[in-house]
Amino acid sequence: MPKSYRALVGFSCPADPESLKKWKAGKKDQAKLMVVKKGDKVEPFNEDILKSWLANDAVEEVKSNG
Amino acid sequence: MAKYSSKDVGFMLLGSYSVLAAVSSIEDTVTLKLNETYALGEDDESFWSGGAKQTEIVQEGWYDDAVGNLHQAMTDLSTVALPMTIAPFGNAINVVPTSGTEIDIYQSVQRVGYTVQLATSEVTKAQARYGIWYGKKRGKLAAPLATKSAAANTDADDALVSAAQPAGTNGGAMVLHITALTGTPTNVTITLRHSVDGTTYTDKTAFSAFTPANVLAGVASEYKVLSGQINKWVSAAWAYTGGTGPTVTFAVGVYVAP
Repeated sequence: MPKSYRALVGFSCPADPESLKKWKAGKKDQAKLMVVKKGDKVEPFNEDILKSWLANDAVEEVKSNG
Repeated sequence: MAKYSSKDVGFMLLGSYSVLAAVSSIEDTVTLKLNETYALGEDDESFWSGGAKQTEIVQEGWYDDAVGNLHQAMTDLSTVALPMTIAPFGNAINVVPTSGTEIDIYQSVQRVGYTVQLATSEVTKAQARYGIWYGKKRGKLAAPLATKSAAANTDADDALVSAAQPAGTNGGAMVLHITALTGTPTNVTITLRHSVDGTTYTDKTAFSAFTPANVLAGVASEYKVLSGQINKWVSAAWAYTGGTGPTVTFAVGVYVAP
């Protein structure tokens, strides 16, 4: 089951793998951005974006009691 | 070494006003206050310094009297203290140096005098004097003075405040100047964001919300203290409450405490 995360602060980042690829290639004007509000639940679309979220202290893992 | 002159100055903003003159000289004088420490009967005078400095700027030249420019600022603005920011190296990010264009930030500036010497139909020759409270801070341009429309951010610009990550861990300050707000929104809120990798930008601190009336009064501007870590990449996000097709013209600067 994929882990889910909660935004610790409001943040923005590339919206999907294709946009992330364009962002890293310097084609930022062609990349779609996602804007997340503090407290929103978010699921990373790949490992790279999760690493970026964690490096920026943008999210925390949501732990279930079950 | 590259030379920069008056024509290179990107902006000089006091509150919501552009106070960049058509042609002017700017003199910045810093005075260190000394106090007497000798008493009756002592032979020699002696003094000590509490470290308090007073800065005064005198600007003299030809000022465009168009709406929103210095002549209006000096004649209409009340003598409230407002932030002033000067971009001596231009209005573009990451240019001088490439690790973030440097700007001068004055936290609290008060108009203390304005003497009109000659007025024509389009320009006014005058001398403006400003009292400066707190020292000048050398900051970095986080968002150039530009007009923005729908709510969004400047993440894609990759504005830097430092070559190293983090830029600092002892906080600092940020400064905002809004020079225009159209489309009659109730207000606009600008938020400073930062990033360790230039990919994910997180909210650092939001400025107060400003209304169109604040801009008209020349006071849509704020200097706000930042705490904790500031990352090397910064951006600005803007969001409106209400309005029809609103636009906002603003600039944001960041100072990183050593």
